[in-house]
Amino acid sequence: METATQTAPGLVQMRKVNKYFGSHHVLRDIDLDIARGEVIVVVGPSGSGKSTLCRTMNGLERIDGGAIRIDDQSMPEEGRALAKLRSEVGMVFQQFNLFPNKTVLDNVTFAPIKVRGRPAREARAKAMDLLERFGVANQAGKFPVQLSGGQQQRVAIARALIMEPKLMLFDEATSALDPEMVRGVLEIMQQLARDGMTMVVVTHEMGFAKASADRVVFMDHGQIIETAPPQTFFGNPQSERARKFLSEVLRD
Amino acid sequence: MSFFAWPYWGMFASGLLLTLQVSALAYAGALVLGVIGVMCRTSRILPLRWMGTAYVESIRNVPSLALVFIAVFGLPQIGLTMPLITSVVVMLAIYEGAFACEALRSGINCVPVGSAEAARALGLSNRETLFYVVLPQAARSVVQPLTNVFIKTVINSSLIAIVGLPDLTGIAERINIREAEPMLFFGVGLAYVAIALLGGLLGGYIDRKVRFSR
Amino acid sequence: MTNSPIDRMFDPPGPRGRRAIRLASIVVIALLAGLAWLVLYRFGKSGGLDRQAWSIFESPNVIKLLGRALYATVRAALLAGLLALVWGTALALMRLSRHRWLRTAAAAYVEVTRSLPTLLVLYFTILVLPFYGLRLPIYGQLVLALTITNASMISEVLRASMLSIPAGQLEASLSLGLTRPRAFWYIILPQGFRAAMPALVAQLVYLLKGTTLGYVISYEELLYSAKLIGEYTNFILQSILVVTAVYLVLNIILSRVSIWIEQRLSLRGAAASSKGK
Repeated sequence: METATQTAPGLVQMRKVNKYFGSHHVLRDIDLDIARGEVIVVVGPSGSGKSTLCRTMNGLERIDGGAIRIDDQSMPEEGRALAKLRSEVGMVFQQFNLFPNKTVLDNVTFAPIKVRGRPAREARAKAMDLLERFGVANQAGKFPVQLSGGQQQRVAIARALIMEPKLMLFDEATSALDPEMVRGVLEIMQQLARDGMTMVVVTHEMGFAKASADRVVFMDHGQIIETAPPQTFFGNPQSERARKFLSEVLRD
Repeated sequence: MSFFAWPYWGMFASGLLLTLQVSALAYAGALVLGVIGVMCRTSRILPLRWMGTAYVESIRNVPSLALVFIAVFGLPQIGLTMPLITSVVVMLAIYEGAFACEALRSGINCVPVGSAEAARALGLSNRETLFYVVLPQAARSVVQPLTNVFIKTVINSSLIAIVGLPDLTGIAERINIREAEPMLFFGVGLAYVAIALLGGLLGGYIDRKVRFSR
Repeated sequence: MTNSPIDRMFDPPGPRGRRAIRLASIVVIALLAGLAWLVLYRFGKSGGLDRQAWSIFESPNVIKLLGRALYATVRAALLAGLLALVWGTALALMRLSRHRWLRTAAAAYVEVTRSLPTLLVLYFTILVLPFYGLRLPIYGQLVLALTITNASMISEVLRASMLSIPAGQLEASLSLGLTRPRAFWYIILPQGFRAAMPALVAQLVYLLKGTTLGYVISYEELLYSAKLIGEYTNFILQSILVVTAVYLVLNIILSRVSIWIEQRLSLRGAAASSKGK
């Protein structure tokens, strides 16, 4: 469902965004608007730039041209302003990236305590609450290396959510998981979507896109080729490249 | 002659003491220089990076004995006069400092980039990411290489015998020039091996401690 | 900006940061230039930069002497290097043997000789061995001492390298019917060598630097020759500096050759296939 974005600016606004890795033009003239509460699923072949696109939204990747605005603030270049923006945008990585030298509980409470200065007791209570919701509360005292991939990713989602972000970025969050654990994590993401979180999800899981996306963004060679609600995109793709991609992906 | 009536215990003990003192001081200096070196090599300020790289690369490609001689003959010529033992300790520290720097650098390089990205994504600044996420992880992989640098320092400290200082190696040489006393060599060799083993054990202990702490 | 992990861990500087860095760079360069000037000034004042001091290196006699010394240094390093490599390989294989007595004996030998200063071993060969009838020429004494200590270091490098080869390699070789010794000789050892190349070259650099110990026994390697020149001309520091520069160049060349060899090897795909990344 398209939400009206003509009067109020959306949560995320990208205009003519370009990025190069050396001579490789990895993002070409990206224009994208994401409204509050929208769930955007980004799909496309490998090397299409979808991960890079996701990472530009919290400044992990710098852009070489164009502008990005998050909540009507332009993306800061450095320093405190950038850190503050990032504390309001949550990111979940393909490789989980939990801090190996901290326990699960410390991983989750780390940011509220160090970045926002919240008291430890409050942070721990909120953390346990989240870990409970995701079914990993009993792992709180363990170290990440002792957990399975699926458990680690749930902890990673808790770590991002405890900061009460305006926007959640999922960079191929289930691609490194064994098949039987993928479903658990996807369910958490689906619940988040139902609860109204603004999400940008880069994924290969077409089932998730069909069930939870408000819009599907198809990328290839650094460009956004097609944007459409899932029924339109999967049922009647407009572009040749999208049709080709879907036929290859949905073959199995 | 009984074991305890061996006439060389005194000299052996003083040689051992000198070796330990020189090694400890040089190692401490090497650690300091290593930290400064790694800060230079990872700095965003390019001239500092070049300096750090020049320092490490020169030292690694130059014999330590040549450096000792440069210190002994050269420092007075630029106006720095100091007792012989000070100049060799300083030179040894400078030499081992390059290796300590590389040990520290490899520790930092071993930290997964993703950890730092996750920290930044949560809103930590560069400095906070360094102190709260990168360095604690780097510390875990740095103990073993630094222990090796210590052992190398002890071994290299033997060079001071060439300029006449009576450390373990110096004692062995001095006495054997007068009369053959192979026992002294075995004793001195044993002392070096013992120091290396003890150093290794201590390093292993610290390593285990650091790995499992929060 | 180079692309090492450290650079990717942190945010690149923004415009404010870049300005600060430029400023700091200028300050650092100024400080370094000042320091360099100070050192050279002091050095010059004490006569170190005089024409006389450095013109001695234009004399044909000096050049010939240094040339001979270079030859002596390289000769000792190559022979000791070769012997240490052979002996080190043998030790490594012994430590990986199935027979416990062989493993322990080799391990004990390696742990001891690895912790000894080469200088001590050298003194031993010149002061103690003669009493037991072993009177070697100077060249032999240096090579022996270098071999004894470097062989154990090489053995550790090779052992670690062979241990890092995936167990599947040995399993596959044994399944094909090779005996354990042949499996090691034809499959494990070559791969271990290839993987250990950089470390082995570093060890060779260390060994080359170790030839300076020939100074102690009047073997006419580079550093000793610097002393000789110094005694003739009174400019010993300059000779040492020149000789140090020669070592610097030699070792840098050695390292470059090693990088070149590594590139050739990896082009042939051998290293890549055994890692399976």
